[in-house]
Amino acid sequence: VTRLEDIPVRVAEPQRPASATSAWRALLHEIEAGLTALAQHDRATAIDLRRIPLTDGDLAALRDALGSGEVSATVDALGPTRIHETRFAGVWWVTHCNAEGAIVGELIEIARCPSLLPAGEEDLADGLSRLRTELATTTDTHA
Amino acid sequence: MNAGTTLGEGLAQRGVSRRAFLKFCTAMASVLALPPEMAGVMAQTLANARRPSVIWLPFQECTGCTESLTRSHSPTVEGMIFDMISLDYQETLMAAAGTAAESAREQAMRDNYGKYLLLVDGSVPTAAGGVYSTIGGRSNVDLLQEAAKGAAAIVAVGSCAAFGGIPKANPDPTGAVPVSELVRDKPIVNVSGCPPIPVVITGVLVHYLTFGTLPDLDALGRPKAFYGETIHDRCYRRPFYEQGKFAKTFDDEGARSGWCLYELGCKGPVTYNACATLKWNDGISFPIQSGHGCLGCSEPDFWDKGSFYKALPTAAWGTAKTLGTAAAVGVAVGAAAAYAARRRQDRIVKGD
Repeated sequence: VTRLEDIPVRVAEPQRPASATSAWRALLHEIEAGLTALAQHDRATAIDLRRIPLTDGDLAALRDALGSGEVSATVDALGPTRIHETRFAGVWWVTHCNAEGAIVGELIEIARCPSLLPAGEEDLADGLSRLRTELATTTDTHA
Repeated sequence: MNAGTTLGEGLAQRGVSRRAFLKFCTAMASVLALPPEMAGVMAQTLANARRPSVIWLPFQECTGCTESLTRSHSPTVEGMIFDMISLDYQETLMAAAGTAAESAREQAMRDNYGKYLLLVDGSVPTAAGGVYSTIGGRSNVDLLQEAAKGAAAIVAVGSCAAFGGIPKANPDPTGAVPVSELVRDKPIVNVSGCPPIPVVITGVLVHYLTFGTLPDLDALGRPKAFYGETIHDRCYRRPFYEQGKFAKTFDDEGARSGWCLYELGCKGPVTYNACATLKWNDGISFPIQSGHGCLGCSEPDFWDKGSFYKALPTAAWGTAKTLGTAAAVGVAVGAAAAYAARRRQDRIVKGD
């Protein structure tokens, strides 16, 4: 062996159990219960996917089962958060990443709108105040 | 930002948006094993909370614990805790030195008596009147006892403060003891690990800020949310263990194929910590994923329990029975394989 590249080492990918267990189907029932609570009592719930021991296969099966709906959003706060509505209205897949791109939270939110999206009261007040200041201090350059 | 403002006001002044804060709370609720719906409540509570005064005393330590918490390349979830507390004394991070630094500590203790959080990293030397480690001419024992009096609670950061750590290793020339041996009348949380996972330190502080109480602790004073399961329980190489597939050396076919490192001395089955799930360096990897067995660094006396490279010896690390229990918990990939693995493991720990 004369060169570093000649050393016969191969990097083995961790052999995670790729096959799906029954956990993803159990989760669908939980989502159904959450959606019932939302429809009947307007109560929003969420499922923290990182606290449930799911295999990669389970996650893939759950993604397949939920599919994609017509709404998606990205929030840029402490790194990107990706949100998309599944093909079941009111069921949202939310992935929080940090600035390095690593996932710091992954949830299924069952709500009319994901909790991160609506503007907060204080944000509204702050925005209104800034807009009024700008209107008062700037002139119309297009006049 | 002064300590009088609420946390929410302080974060806003620093340009942390409400959504960023909500996201932080969501991640924290997740690592603290709280229901996700708690994130909103947590955000509301924290936004209205006053920033607590935190005094961080370093004793016989290597600064690795501070490095763990501060070595972030970009704004991170765990790093955000520095925006949420008033860190009034931390020798490594503070600009002040000498008399000015010690005055800042005394001032913070006076102003927040009975309310401040005391963080300690490093063990405390007691031999020869505590002369082996002094700050400003005062022994660590003296400083700890003084600071503990006015503390609301104490967080022992790292295995040295929690259990004595490397300074306590045989022959222990300095008579090193953990915080819990010198302070008996205050609530103490042990955040063990050499170093601890940064988000665990953050999680304990966030729990305290949100609920005003310390999290549930195990028999060794560690938060159950992070130390409730063994490394082995959540290890991605666990299926190989169940199948009886073990690496025998660090460069054999088994090692290259990512098989279980049990026979190479991995202490994962008896080590309670969250490395296998939370991981290190922004979630990139943890020792086993990098090809090395767990050293058991979050357990008491790990430094004196024999070679890191010898398979779990019964005398130092537990019994075949506890290991059998470890084998029985978790994902069973086939009862026969698990049984074979357990029998094999029994033989290993019995030295057959």
